[in-house]
Parts: sequence; C-alpha cells; structure tokens
Amino acid sequence: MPIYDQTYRPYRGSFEPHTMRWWTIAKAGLKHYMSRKLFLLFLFIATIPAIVRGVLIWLSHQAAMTGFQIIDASFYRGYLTWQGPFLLLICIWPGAILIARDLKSNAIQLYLCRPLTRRDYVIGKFAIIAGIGTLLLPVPGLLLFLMEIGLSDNMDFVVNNYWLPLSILGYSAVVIAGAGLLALAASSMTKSGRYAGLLFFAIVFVSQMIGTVLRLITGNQAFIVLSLPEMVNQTGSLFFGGFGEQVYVIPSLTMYAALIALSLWVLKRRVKAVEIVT
Amino acid sequence: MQQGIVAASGLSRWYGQVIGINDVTLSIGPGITGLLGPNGAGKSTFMKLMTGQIRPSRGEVTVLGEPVWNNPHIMKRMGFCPEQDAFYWSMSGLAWVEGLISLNGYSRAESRQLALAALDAVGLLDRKDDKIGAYSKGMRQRVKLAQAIAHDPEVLILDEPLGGMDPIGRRQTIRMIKDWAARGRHIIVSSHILHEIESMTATILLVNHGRIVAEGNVHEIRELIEEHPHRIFIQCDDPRRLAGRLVGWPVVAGMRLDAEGVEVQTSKPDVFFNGLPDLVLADQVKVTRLLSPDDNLQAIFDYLVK
Repeated sequence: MPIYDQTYRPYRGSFEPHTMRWWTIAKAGLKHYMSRKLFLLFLFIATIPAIVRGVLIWLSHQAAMTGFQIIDASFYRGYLTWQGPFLLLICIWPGAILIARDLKSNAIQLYLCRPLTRRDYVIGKFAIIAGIGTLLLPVPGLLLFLMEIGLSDNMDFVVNNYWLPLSILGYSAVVIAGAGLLALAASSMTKSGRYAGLLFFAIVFVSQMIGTVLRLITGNQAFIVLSLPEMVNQTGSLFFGGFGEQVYVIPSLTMYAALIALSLWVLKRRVKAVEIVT
Repeated sequence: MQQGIVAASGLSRWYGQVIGINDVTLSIGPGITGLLGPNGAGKSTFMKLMTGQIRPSRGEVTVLGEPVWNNPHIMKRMGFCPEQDAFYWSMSGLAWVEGLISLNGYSRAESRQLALAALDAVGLLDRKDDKIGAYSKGMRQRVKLAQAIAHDPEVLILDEPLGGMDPIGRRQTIRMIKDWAARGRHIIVSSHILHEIESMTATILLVNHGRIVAEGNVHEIRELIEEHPHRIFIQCDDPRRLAGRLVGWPVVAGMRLDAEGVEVQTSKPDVFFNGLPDLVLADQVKVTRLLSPDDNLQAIFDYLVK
C-alpha cells in the first residue's frame, strides 16, 4: 500500500522579485481604468492638444507657412502647461479615490497581510497616476520633439535644443510627483473618494486664491509662492529657461518640495492596515 | 523568547488608554489552536499583531521563528482571514481572489489557477464570476477564506471564520480546517463560541481583558470550570415548594428564593439537569422557564479570573 507524504509542501515555482511587487498594484489599476470607455474618451480628449501641436509643427515646415510658428523650448513648455488641467483631472479621478476606496472597504489589511510593505502599496498606487500622467505629458512631448527633428532639413534644432528631452522628462516628473502624491495624501484622509477629490481641488484652488489675494493686498509678488499652480509654473522655468526673469524659482521649488514632503508624511501616517482610533 | 509556531514575549498593545493585549508571553504549538474570548477580549488585536498589521506597543511576536512586524517575507508563509468584510463589491469573487494572490508574486496564470482551486475548496466555484456584492454573508465569509488559503500557507490565521455562515457552511468549513491541519498546516482560529472551537480542536487559548486566562487542553479547562458552582434559575408556579425539595439534593450547593422562582448553585450542572425533570414531576410543580445565566463564555471567564 503506498504511503503518501501528508506534511506541508511549500510552493516550488518562481515568484516575481519583491522589488517589483508594487507593479502588481499599478498594473491592476491601470488595466482597470484602461478598460473603461469613459476613461478612454477622456484620454482621447487629452490627446487633442498634442495633435494640434503636431499640426502646428507640420504647418511650420510648409514653404508657404514659414514663420507661422516658432518651434522652440517655449513651444514645448506651453504644451506641458496646457496639459496641466488634464493632470489635475486625473488626480481627482482616479487619483483621489485610489486609497479612499481601500480605506472604505478595509482592503488595506488584505494588501498588507501579503508580502507587501506600505511603501510598496503607496508606490503601486502612485504608479497608476504616474502611468496615466506619463501618457498625457512627457510621451506626447517627446513625440512632438521627434516630429520636429524628423521634419527639419538640418541639425540646427537638435544642436540648439539637445537638452529639451531631459527638460520635458524632468519637468513632467516633478509635476506628476507633486500632483500625484498630493492626490494620494488627500485620498488617504477620507473614506470617500468624492470628498478626497474635493479636498485635492480645494488645496489647489484655495492655495491659488490665497496667493493671489495676498499679492494684490500687499503688492508683494513673493506671495505667489503660496499658489500651487504658480509653484509649478515657476518650477518650469528651471527646466525651460527664463530663470533670471522668474525670481521666485527657488522659493517656489522649496515650497513645492515641502508640499511633497508633507504629502509623504500624511501617507505614512494614514496608510495603515488597521485604523487605530484612540 | 519561547519557540513555537507563534511565540509572543511580553507582548502588549494599547490604543491610547485602552488595552488591547497586556503583557502576553506564550508559545503556540503545531496543529489547530483555538483562540477563545468574549467580544472585546483582545483576540482580534492578537491576530493583527500576529499578522504584522499593527506594531506591538511593547514586546515581540514571532511566527515560524521570524519576527512579524515589518517583515513582509514571512507573509508568504501565512494566510489571514479577517473578521471584517474587506471587499471591492463590484468585483467578481474570482477577480478578487486572483488579484490578492498575485500580490504574493505569482504569475497571472498561476494566480488564476490558485484562485480557482481555492474557490473550489470553499465551494464557490459555480459562483466565481458573480459580483461579491451579490454574495450572501456566508458566501462572503467563504470567499475571504479562499483568499487566505489560495497560496497554501503554512500558517493560517482565521479571525471568526464561521461568523454568518449557515449550519451546512459551518460544518464544511470546520471539516476543511481540520483537513488542512491534517496535511501539516498550522491554524490559529478565533471565536467567541466555545463549541465552535471544540469541534475543531482540543487546544485552546482563553483570552479576556487582553490577558491569556487559560491555555491548554479544552477538557482540562472544562474540568477547572466545573469546580466552580454553576447558577441555574428555575421559574415556576410554587418556588417555595420546589426549594424545599431542592434543599435535600446533594448536587445543590446553594439557593436563592424569590417570588418568580428559585436560583440554584450547583457544581454538577449535568447531574442537576438530568435529575430535575423527575423531581419536578414528583412534586407536580409547573416550571415555566429554565435559565442558565452561566452557560456562556463570559461566565467561564468570570469564573477563571475570580
């Protein structure tokens, strides 16, 4: 009679490396949103500015349209600035619901009783916003850069703007990091995605309002660093030039870094398996 | 630190001024161990500490010899079924289990296969594509179990796994838990219902007010309990006549009489309940109600902590 081993036999197959565990969360989130028609429609609308800029580049290379549009760093910066509201919408939906939904459904405890750290969890959620943000900002920006190179007759554009791809990437990374982490922090503050979205929206617009009102009352231009959109705008000068004209770049950058640090602190405090009420 | 499947040393956890677990030192051996205690005793806190969900305020807890807090690698060897619902209601049972399993690092195909096997094991395979929001309470309990067992963990921690299940579901789940243990897994299961735990294991830990009140074999603990008088209230039409008869019965250790009935204290409740019908019939006393205020877990804890 055969005697079978009844003791515990662990899984002998292969596992994905732990360093990529966050990718499972990001992948699932991206797949979820990319399968929604409404979201795809939004992405299509968000692509229209890139298509328009592409047409402008093409027209600027037509003999009859010489001088119609100057393609330089400000053209690309203008494109990225134009995409800002779309990124803002991404931060509200789905950004602001990403953690709120898990808090509401107690799902964080099930994430964290797996081989996954809180950091992996936050990185995974952030990667969802970053992935969509990348599709909206740097990817079209770099494609427009390549398009200009492809249509150019000589190497002048490349020689004069060789740093542009890095600027597009750097600026996009800074904008996405700040907005994405702020959206996640807002999301971790409440169990309602709707309130989290409102909170994010309020932070952006109230900061702008305060900055503008204080600037108008006191006449001191330095108050613009209190405005989140202005912080981003000033930071853009660091990547696309105009540093000398924009005198508040360093204070804005400092404020922006402080905002990112604050968002990370909130996430550290709020993302827990179990909500402790004392 | 004592060694065991789960070991705790001076483990404490408090929430502000509220104590969850208070200076617990223990070692849980292989097989099934029941964690028993009334609501609010500290069972769930202990389970959350065991699964690394909360950090101990003091002391340490290890599972399979490794510290749990901030050690995600040990989670590969553990499965956890929480007491609370933790669902995305619009997801199907299969997608939910598969998604959670993939967090362990399995490939997509492997995750699906494991999820299907787990849903089969809990009897939900035919409802795998239904949304969790459409599941009954018992089915939700089973799908939670499925996510806990799908990766075939060495140590399974189940927080009130039978809550909300119908009798058939309970029986199936109890059988499943016993089968896993027979295949070399270690299971720690909590409940506030003594007979549920007794049907799974004889090894129990009794928790009350954040402390381990008793530890070991359930029969030994029962014997210990039986040394304490058990209260039984008999509501009847003639309490005085019934009390007169009860006084002469050796199993009756004490008595209190009121207008409604008689409250008896006995150290042998089984003998008392067996003999009571004959006694009542002999005297033609009409019994309208029989209450056993001590026949619950809280009373057992009250006895043990006195």
